[in-house]
Amino acid sequence: MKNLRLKAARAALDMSQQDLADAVGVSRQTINAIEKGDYNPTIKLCIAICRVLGKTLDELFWEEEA
Amino acid sequence: MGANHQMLADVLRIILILALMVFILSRKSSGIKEYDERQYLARSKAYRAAFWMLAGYFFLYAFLNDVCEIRWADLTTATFIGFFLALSVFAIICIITDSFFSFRDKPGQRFIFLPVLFAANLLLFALNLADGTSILTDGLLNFHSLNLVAAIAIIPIYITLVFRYYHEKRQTEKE
Repeated sequence: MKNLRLKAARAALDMSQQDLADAVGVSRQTINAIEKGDYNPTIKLCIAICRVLGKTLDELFWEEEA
Repeated sequence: MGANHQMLADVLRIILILALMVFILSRKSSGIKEYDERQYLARSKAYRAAFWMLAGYFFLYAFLNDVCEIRWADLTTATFIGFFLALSVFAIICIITDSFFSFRDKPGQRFIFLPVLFAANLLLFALNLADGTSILTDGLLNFHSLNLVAAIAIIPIYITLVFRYYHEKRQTEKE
């Protein structure tokens, strides 16, 4: 499932995928894969992304059951 | 120089080229140790694919050699061809999944390095031929053909690298 909240949070800070990737220490393709829902990051990477984007884990990664 | 010494020298030369290749490809331009969890996972899949490729190749070689009695290369040559095949599979999968090149690396290094490696292998092969060395012994491919095999193995890796580079460029522009 696509992570549109992550994409929106990143865009709100006017950051490119590369900027976010550099900030958390991974490749741009990894950020792209997370946004597209092709890769489930570890909790460590989720926290690093949240810290950079100033969001909580719930705000970016928690999926509400339908 | 005896045939065994020459063979040893050829094998050492190939190992030296491979060691140089691994050293340059794994060198970090910034000196900073990076950890990308997705790349590590993708790389482990590439190792697995290379392992099964090598296992399948050796099984096929043994089957052809002993059951069908089709002999096409001596044992050393066949072993190295299998190794080059597995290495190519590993490199290609790594390039496709972007698990080989870290984000701080400069792709330009690879675009220059691989053709140089290709040319060096072709040159060594040509020098062997110029010396009057044959790549066949009793109708079997011998270890003098390994430089040519290594050069051929670089071609699909380079094509994948170029394809991946332009695909990545398009993706970045789109984003």
